[in-house]
Amino acid sequence: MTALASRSARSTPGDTRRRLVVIGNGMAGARAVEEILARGGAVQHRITMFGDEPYGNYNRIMLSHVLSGEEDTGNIFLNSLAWYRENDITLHSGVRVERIDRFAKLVFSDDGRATPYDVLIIATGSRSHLPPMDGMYTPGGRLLPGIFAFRTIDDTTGMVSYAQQDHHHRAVVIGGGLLGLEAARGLQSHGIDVEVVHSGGHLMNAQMGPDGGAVLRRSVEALGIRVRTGSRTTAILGGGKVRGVQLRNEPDIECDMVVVAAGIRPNVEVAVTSGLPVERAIVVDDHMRVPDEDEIYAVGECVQHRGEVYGLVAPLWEQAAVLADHVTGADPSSVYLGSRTATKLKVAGVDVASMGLQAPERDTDEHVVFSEPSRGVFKSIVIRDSKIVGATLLGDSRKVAYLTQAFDRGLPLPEERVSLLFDLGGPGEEAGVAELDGDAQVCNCNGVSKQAIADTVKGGCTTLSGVMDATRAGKGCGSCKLLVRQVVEWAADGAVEEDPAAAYYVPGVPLEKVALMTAIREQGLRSVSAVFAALAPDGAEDAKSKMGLASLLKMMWAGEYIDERDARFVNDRVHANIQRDGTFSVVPQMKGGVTSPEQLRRIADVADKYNIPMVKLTGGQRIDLLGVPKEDLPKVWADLDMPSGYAYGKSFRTVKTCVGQDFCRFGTGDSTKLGIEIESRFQGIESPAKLKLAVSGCPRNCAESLVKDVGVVAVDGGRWEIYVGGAAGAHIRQGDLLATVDDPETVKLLAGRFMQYYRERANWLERTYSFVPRVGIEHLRAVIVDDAEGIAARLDEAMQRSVDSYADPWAERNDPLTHGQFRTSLPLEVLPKVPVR
Amino acid sequence: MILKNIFLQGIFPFDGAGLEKAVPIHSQLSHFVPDGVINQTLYFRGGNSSPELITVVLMRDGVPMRYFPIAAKGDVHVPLRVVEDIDGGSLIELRLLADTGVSGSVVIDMGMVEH
Repeated sequence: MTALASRSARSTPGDTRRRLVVIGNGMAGARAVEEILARGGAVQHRITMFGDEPYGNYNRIMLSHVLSGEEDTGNIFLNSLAWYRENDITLHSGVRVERIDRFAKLVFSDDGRATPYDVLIIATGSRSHLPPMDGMYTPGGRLLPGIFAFRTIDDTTGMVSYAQQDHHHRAVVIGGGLLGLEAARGLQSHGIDVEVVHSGGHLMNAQMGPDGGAVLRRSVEALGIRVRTGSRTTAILGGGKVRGVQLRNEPDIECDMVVVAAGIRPNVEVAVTSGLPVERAIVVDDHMRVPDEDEIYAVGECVQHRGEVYGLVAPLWEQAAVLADHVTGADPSSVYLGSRTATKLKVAGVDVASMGLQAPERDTDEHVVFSEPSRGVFKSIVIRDSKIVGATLLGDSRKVAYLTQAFDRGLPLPEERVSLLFDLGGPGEEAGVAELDGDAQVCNCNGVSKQAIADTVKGGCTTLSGVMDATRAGKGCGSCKLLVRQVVEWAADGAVEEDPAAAYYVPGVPLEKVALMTAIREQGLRSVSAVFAALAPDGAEDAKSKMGLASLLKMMWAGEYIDERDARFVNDRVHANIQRDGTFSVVPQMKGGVTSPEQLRRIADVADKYNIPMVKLTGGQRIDLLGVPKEDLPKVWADLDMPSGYAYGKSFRTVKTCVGQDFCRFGTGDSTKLGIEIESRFQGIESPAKLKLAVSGCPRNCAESLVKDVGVVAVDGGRWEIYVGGAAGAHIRQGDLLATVDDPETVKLLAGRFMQYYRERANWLERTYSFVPRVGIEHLRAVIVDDAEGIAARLDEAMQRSVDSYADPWAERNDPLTHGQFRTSLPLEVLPKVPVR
Repeated sequence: MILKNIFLQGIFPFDGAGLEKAVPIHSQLSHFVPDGVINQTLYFRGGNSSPELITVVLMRDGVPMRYFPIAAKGDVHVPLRVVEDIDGGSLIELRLLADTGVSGSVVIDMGMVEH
């Protein structure tokens, strides 16, 4: 009854479109929707998507890059929330679908919702397989702390933060397949000592034979990863957390963390509970339709098609296209006949490609093998009736494109087999590209054909990054970038333009930082829109460039900068830090961490008055009022009547201090006083990334000065050491000693000069811990301390102008700059609830 | 993922040895799952030519996993939807339970997949 009521309540009058519900917001679900939209499906369907994970839709293949720190989690999202809005898709993220009533055509989810559908797509994907082992779970049924699967963003970030804890040094990765090796390599980049335990006889035994496995093992061991094959883990040791693993017939291995990468299993619970046909996965026909169900489709890793279950991304794209043809009626004759899977990857830095058979099966099969273990190269091809039925290539993937195509199509092979493996004075690599058919797939992640790339180039796009943006080729796992480049070069007939965009300060303005600053100064450009008008191609505004430009202009022009609100990120528009649930956190200034009873009382009153759900001390010695709705911000600031602590901006934030010589028995310098002076001087100045500082009164470093962007330490004899480029966040780095000086005034001068130099030279969003090693501490010492370039006076003066133009942004509270600046925009969608303690 | 299909099949004569103890039918009806792969049973088909009920037992490492009773002069087909994984290193075997004095032929076709 309730279901019926909610059904009628939900339908919008006048909207006669069919209701399309997608269970699963992963790569398959979102891709299917994209394909449907591309066929004009938005006119026919009102789309609702359910995602179990509380995020948008992201590229799972990139998680190994996130693990190794090469990529930020923010950069692996495929479709932003705006995409869902623009396409009028209702997204329920963080909601799990529990049951389908296929007779009433309703989908029941764990938030108590019953959603009606006319067409249903199941794209639930798969999850990590955790083989049964003793000691794996706590009595409460959760995984023992220190055990990780490797499947989701949460798995990955959990692993990273666990690996970065000081007392964790050793990890065991269970599973020597693709994922296991990626995990091992990723953990290594966090300084973890890794051992791979694999139950098969050789590494990657699903993809290659024993000979290839042996070569791969050599390459992997050369990276410092220990490998055990043929050993099975029988138990995890440790009571409260992981202490080691137990192996069958072998001594135990001690370790602090365990990553289980022993394969994946399709998520079929919803289908099983709902009575759909499930064998190894959800059974579908050649139309990707579930048998005997007219309106239920399934796609991706949760699907079994003609007995096959795929764990790769390429078949998924083919399936999504067929599914979309049928759902939209664009091509009722379209069929999916299965995929011949060829994998081409970089595993732990080693090129690996494999397709079809690993070794000959019949007496008449030919087998061409080349092995050079010392260089980590192994190539093997299995030929039957003059057609390739299998190939493995390791360490040298130049011939992959041609082999893949020959395998896919069953092309006849040259008489001289050895030319399959090598270029023997014959046509080179480019010719290899030229040989490819137009519809040969170059990028397997995004299903981009050679023809699509060639067409884009013919359409006038002759830079590599331009083609990548336009076609999405090379934007998946990235392993095909070299091939994409070759195809672009081939298609452009050598007229490829070198892509200078990589060096641009912001993507929308084609200038490097120094040139950009010169142009801005010469032309007197004082606002973001003026810069676009004068310097961007065709004066086009580029949303992705606005924040970086706003920060740069404010740094350059100080008080003369013309502020434009649309150039700011929401944090900078409302001067508070947006939180996961869409509320904001307010951090009043508390210089050097020093406060007074009067301030505390006022903060307490405000917290009471506005029902602030959480009051928290921050790592930077301040008080954080969390959970303030946007519309309350001006009132909260007014009642606090304290300046902003800049806890949200790409700017100078805080100076952490210890108690210093007045109270501490060891203090040699007045750190608190100096900290307050530094914070007063530089409060709120803009910079390419946030700046966190500290002053410690003695080398015991209670204020953690060695891991700050700028850290000051008092040493005996009234002297002060200045460290720069330290970090203790996602990266950990001890700062480099910039100078040792005699008095606090010089500290302030040199710190300011360093910050100004950093503001002028650093790339957008480049923290000092990247900037300092890039530029070199010797160079910094020469410029900042010894004034080798003769720019010290100019730097000091520029900093002074920024300091003079300081204005507390919270003063805006009574006079909003734009209509609706502080109007609530919630709820745009259902956001995850942050628990309040 | 590379799949391999494996079949245990054939027509075998048998002499009942009692319902208490499952006895091997034929050496062909056993399979050792190699290390590093996962085995899943997909279906079982069986036929019984004798005039009594017989039961084919699927064993893993000597422990019964599934029983397939086949009626007198009857047949069964069991699609094993959503079956558990059998890890590498396990021995899979089909055995028979038939009353003493019962004899005939049993038809067996069991399909598995390994990956």
